[in-house]
Amino acid sequence: MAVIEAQNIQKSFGEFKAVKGVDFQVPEGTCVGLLGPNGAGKTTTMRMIMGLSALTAGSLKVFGVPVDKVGRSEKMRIGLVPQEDNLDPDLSVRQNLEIYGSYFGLEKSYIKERADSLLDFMQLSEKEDNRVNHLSGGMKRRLIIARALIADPEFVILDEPTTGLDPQARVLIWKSLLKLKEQGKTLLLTTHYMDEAQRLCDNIVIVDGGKVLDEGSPKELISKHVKNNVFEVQKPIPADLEKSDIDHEDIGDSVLYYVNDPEKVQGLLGKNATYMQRVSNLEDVFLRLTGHKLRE
Amino acid sequence: MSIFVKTVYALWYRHFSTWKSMFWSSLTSNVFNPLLFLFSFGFGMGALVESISIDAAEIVYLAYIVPGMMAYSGMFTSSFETSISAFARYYMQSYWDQVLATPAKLHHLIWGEVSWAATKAMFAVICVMVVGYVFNGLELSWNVLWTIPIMLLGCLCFAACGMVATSFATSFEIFSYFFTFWVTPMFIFSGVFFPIDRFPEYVQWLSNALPMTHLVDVIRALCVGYELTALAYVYKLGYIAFITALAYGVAYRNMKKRIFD
Ligand SMILES: Nc1ncnc2c1ncn2[C@@H]1O[C@H](COP(=O)(O)OP(=O)(O)O)[C@@H](O)[C@H]1O
Ligand SMILES: [Mg+2]
Repeated sequence: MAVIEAQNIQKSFGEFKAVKGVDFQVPEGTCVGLLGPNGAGKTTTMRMIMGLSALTAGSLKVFGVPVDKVGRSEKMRIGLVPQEDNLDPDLSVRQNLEIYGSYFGLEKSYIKERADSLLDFMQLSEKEDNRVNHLSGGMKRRLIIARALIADPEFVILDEPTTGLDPQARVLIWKSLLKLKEQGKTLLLTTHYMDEAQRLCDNIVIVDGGKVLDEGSPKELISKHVKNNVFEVQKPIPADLEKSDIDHEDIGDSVLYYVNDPEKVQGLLGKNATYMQRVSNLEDVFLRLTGHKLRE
Repeated sequence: MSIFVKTVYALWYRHFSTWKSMFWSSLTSNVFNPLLFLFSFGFGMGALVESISIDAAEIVYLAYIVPGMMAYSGMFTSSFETSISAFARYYMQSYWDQVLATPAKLHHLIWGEVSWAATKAMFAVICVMVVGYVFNGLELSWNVLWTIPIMLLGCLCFAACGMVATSFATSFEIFSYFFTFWVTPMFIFSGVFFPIDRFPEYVQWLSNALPMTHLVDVIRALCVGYELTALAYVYKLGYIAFITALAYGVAYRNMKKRIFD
């Protein structure tokens, strides 16, 4: 069964269409990544799933239940890691977990047990009595993830879980998310870090301007859109190469050539070309699909 | 325990636990506030008017203003808590988003705010009563005990009204209207410090529209022991309950539209 089934979901804020008809599924036990530049409509989509924002049109089912009928029993099974840090600044680290747990109506003893193990899981035990304002960015993020797990949900939504963190902090979070995957939890993740998506996601949905551009496993997307290799060739482009019918994209100062067989391009480069060759990755797919222009 | 009570209690408890850490400052201000009022009015107004007559009964001025101050501090504290404080939690701290991502619903959330505001306000009211008792402005009787549930109703009412302001607010500036056109008039026109029959008739109309006027009247009747008819009790308390329900409904509808749209 799919945990999330979204069909043609739309969201308008007044005249502005933030989400313009998005379809995707999150099958049980998988990690799906919603990838898109800023303003693509990722957060809006997550908020619609959580019932924090009403749909303008379309059909959205959560655990098979239409989102406007989602009630307590479904909400108990979802944990949310929002994009912004909305920890309770008036409470300590431990209270942030325990009091949040009480909103779920869980038993006190159970909450305490969960808080103990989550503080440990997220390596926050030493900080349990600190006010949250005194935590580093990485610790805050870990605490928010721990908080989302307090009721031991089957499905966890993570909106940009590692944005703005240093590499060490990101690796620590990735490890814990991989553990969640091992435990069989279903994850829906938004990010604009391709390495993150490539590492964690079984399936990726690329969105931009409120629409789905394409979806598939990281491997599928790469071979479909950017082959195996990329050559970034500085202008002026050698005449032979320019005439060829190799799949390419002009990005201003240089042109990207996508090929499965590197020799095909190498033979056409001539002696004086300045270029860089590398194995293509998700970032190339992303840039190819969403364009190379700067965003908001 | 029903889910509703359990969830509202959890939300109430969140506010209580942050308040606990500020208990002493809260106690100090709640005791000094009425002390300052008593001091100033005792020397100021009290020197001018020694007693006030209601229905031919003479009431010592101090005994007259203690019930007024009870109602006033309850009204002010609960109004403040669901307006400026709740708005800060909603707007600056994303507290509402945090709660609504859990199985807690908007009804629970608003009840959590309102019930907490009333609790905090009742603490202020009881401080006034203790200060009033110590300075011989309040005589203990069974009737005085009745003021507790009635004050609680009043505080719930003002808390719900504060919630209406919050549901409309887009910035903190908006609350200057709430205080200028709602809280302050209830301080001045509701008979906290002198009887409203000294106002011209059209002002009395305004006074009687304010739930505070009826609360002050009932609390004072119970504290100083003057008579109100049973009908007056029903009408006055019913009016307060009606305003509470109305305010709650408006706040809920506004907030719902605002949050989920
Ligand atoms: N409450 C809102 N009112 C008006 N516009 C909004 C609101 N929330 C989001 N938007 C707009 O919708 C678009 C998508 O936003 P968002 O879902 O936050 O994008 P993302 O999370 O992909 O960066 C943006 O252009 C944003 O400005
Ligand atoms: Mg976002």
